[in-house]
Amino acid sequence: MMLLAFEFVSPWLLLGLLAAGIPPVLHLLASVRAREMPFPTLRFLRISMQRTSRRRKIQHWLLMAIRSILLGLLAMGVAQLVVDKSTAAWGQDEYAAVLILDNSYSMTVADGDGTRLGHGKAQALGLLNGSGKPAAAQVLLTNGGGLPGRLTPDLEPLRTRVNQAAATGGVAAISQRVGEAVELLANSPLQDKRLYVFSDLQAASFAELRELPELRDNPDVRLLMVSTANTPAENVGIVGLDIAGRRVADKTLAFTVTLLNSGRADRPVTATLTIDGTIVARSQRVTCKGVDKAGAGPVSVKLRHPFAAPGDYSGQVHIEIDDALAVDNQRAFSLKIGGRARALVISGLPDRQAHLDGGRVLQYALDPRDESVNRWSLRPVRVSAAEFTAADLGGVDAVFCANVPTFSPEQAKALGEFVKAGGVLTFFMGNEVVASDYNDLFVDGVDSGGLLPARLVGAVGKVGLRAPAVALDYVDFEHAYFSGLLTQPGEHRRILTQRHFRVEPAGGYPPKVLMRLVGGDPLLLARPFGAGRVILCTTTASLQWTKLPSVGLSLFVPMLERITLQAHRGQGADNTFPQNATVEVHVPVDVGESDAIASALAVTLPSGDAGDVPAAIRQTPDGPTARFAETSQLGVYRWQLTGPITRGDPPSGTFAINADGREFDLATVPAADLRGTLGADRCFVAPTIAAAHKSAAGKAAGVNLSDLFLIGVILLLITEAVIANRHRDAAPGSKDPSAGRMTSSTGC
Amino acid sequence: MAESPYTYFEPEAAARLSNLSVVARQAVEGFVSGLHRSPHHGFSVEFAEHREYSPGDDLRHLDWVAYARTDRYYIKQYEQETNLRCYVLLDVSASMTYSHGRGPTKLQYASYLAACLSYLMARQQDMVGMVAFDEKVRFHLPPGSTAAHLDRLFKNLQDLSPGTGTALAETCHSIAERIDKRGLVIILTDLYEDPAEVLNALQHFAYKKHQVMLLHVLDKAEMDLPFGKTVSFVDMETGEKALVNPAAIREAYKQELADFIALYRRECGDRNIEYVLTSTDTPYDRMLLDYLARRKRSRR
Repeated sequence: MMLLAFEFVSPWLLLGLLAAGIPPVLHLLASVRAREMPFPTLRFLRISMQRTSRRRKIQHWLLMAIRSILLGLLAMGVAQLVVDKSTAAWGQDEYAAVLILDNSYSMTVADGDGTRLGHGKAQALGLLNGSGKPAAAQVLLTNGGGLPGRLTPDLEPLRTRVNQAAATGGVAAISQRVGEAVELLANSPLQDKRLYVFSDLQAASFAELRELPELRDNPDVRLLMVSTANTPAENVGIVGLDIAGRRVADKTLAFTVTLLNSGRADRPVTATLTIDGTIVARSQRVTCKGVDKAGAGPVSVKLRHPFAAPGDYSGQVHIEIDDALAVDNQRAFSLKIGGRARALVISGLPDRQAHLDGGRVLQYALDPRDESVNRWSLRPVRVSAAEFTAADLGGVDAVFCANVPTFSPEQAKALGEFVKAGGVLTFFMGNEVVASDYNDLFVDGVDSGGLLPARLVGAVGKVGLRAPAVALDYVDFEHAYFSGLLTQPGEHRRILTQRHFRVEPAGGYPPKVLMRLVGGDPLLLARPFGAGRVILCTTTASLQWTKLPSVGLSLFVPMLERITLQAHRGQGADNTFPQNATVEVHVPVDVGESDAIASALAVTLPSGDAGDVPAAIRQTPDGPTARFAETSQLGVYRWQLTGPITRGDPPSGTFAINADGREFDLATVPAADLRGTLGADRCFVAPTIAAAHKSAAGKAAGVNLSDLFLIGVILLLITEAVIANRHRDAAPGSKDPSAGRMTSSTGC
Repeated sequence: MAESPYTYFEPEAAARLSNLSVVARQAVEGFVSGLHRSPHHGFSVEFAEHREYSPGDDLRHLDWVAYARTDRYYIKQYEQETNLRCYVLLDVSASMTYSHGRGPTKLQYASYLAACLSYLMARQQDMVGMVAFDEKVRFHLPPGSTAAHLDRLFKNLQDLSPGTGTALAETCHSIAERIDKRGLVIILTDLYEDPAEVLNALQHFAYKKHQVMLLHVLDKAEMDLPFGKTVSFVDMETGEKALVNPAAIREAYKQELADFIALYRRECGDRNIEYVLTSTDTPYDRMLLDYLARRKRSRR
């Protein structure tokens, strides 16, 4: 036998029941406040009242009762009487359930004495322990949960799973888990299929939930969402950290920290940069506006720091603030800073005047600063073309050839190998250049053919004070070599060139034109070759043919620096990874010893404890690489090879683990939006499991009791109107048109 | 058009009834001649019939030609229209001051009727008198037909102030005792008194051979009880109150009033008393014309 319990969704609205007392009160007031009206005689009134006394009493009390009931029904209708199946029908029917517990970091927001995750776990355990527990169930965690095989009637392991659930990184994979859960439920033989989600309804997690095909294909699965975000979180978090700049010694890196305020109050914030335990930079105080205020949204602050020497650096950016979520107040990083980039300048015949000597101009441009004052991240070396050998290319990142007349086949071959291996080779022209030799060697040659981006045709233009010059018409400011330079529009047109080599296509992969002269002739072309890149400047590196090194200094010098730094193969890389990712780091050790050293890899966790992190070393194309599989802690991990197998200083390094920054945007999806999208008849959102059941029970009953109340009210209204107007055949106040006239207007 | 110096006499209405309108004139003539056909068989111009001579008869009216033919004495009788004595009895009790809405009070309405009828009577040399009463006689104007008499009558009418209770039966008895010559008695009242006593008083007039015309004046609201909300009605004569939901008793009230009217209509008919029910929402001139037309048809 099905027992139905009735409850009200909004019981406080039952105060409206007091309105049922209004008709009797009105009746009393009507007796007291009835309007007095003189009347010729009460004789017939009294007789009529005596005759109708009994009927009038019945009608009077009936009307009063109807009106009281009417108001009472209205109050109960507004209070939404529902069948409470959480304790009755919902608890006694057998049903299959999948519980999805959001264990992303946003669930660690403080909520009263505990956290949102704690609230969600308590609600989930309440369902699994309560009298209305499911006949078969499964528990899925949004983060790091994996997919259990099937629904199980044994709920004890599920309770354990819920109890052991801990917050971890990454945006909650709600959509993925819902898809998995719906598939599990679809295979259940039970008719009643329920999907419970215990989450803070974080917008970042629920954005994709709206278009899940699994939900569309299984309309019998009902979604009951227990929202744990019942109080707004006052929190400012670091949602992003971007480190810009070449990871080479003596290069200043820019740390851009993105902050987001999810609370309503404005919060002043100062960010600090800590490297290897020392605060090296502090930002100015910025105000993160509350979500309801003008100017709300992400706020960026920049911190800068130069790294003097190559090596592994680790640290964090941090904001000092007392808010609902502590985990998002810092963000770690690990950087490998490489040594200075090396450039080789091969110069042709020297000129007595330095500004006309391309080799010397290049050398100055590549290292323009006084070493004693400013440290510079490039180290150029200049050799003459005659002395240049393949040995000079050792450890070099970029080669610049300035007005070299020609190359020997060996030299050409060495340069070809250099570029194929990843180096960058840049040719600057000059009056000594023998175009045919260049074409023979670098266009049509056997060992280095195809190296030159274009075939040299011949130099055009005259040099001299009165000689005409051609302006620079186009610079590819989108390219990495020029981005952010010459911010004034048309500034590049001041750069004039009197003489340059015309080129024609050399076949193969078309080069990219980075600079072009008025008239259409290319001034700078680039094309990848092997793992490297070849750049051809059709004019001189000196001031002999062009004003590029002088008027265009602010274009020329950064270009040379960028060419070199981008070619720098020894520059460091970031060792910063997302939480729970498998981390691979290069280990400079003899691969033959890899099996033996695997057990000798010591890891120190961010917490400072010696970590039990599974690690394995294997050979990869980049060399021996260690894989760290367990990276659930946030912060900087330190590793070191220990034991007798190492020679000299034992290899060591660091890597940093961060949570997904999107997780710290605590904006939530409104429950109404979710229900509107997923279907109000199958999706129910409430702060507790009981409230969710109540909402669902009203729908599950098949009849909306509020609607029934409304129907009752309408019927009673009609009845009341019929009774009340039964004898009201004359409209009060109606008058004959002739009333008030003593005589007729026509006389007849 | 010049204004009338009298409140309850409208020359326009009187003109409609007498001079200007053919219909009105016809109605008035019919009304007057119809109302006071004399019961006295006199010896005037119009021969009516013969009757046998009886001792004491005036020998001047002996029909000698008939005696010569039949050898019997017959007296010639003539039908003569004589000057009529008309008494207008006007109820000025408090209940007659009732009016719902913009219409006239019952007293105003009855006063108009009384004035108009008085004017018409006097115009054809009949004598008209008036008695205004509530619980007692407020004024008594003996019959007359001169212009000065009419002027006095109209002024008395407009100087009337509402009274208190009603003593219709008592007044009727009193008037019936005072009037010697038979005549026409027109009573304008709302009849809010014990019907048995009123009918008994009317019977007194009939007994005295007077022709009685009872004009029952009611307000439309009294007849329909058109009120919506619960009202505390106050009796205009006694000051008593009654809390009433008009909608709940309307049907019963109307039935009760209809019974009351039917009682008077029936009892008056039995006593050869003419009963005319009128409502204040009907223009009084139209009411008179309609009534007379009806009456004329019934007399044919």
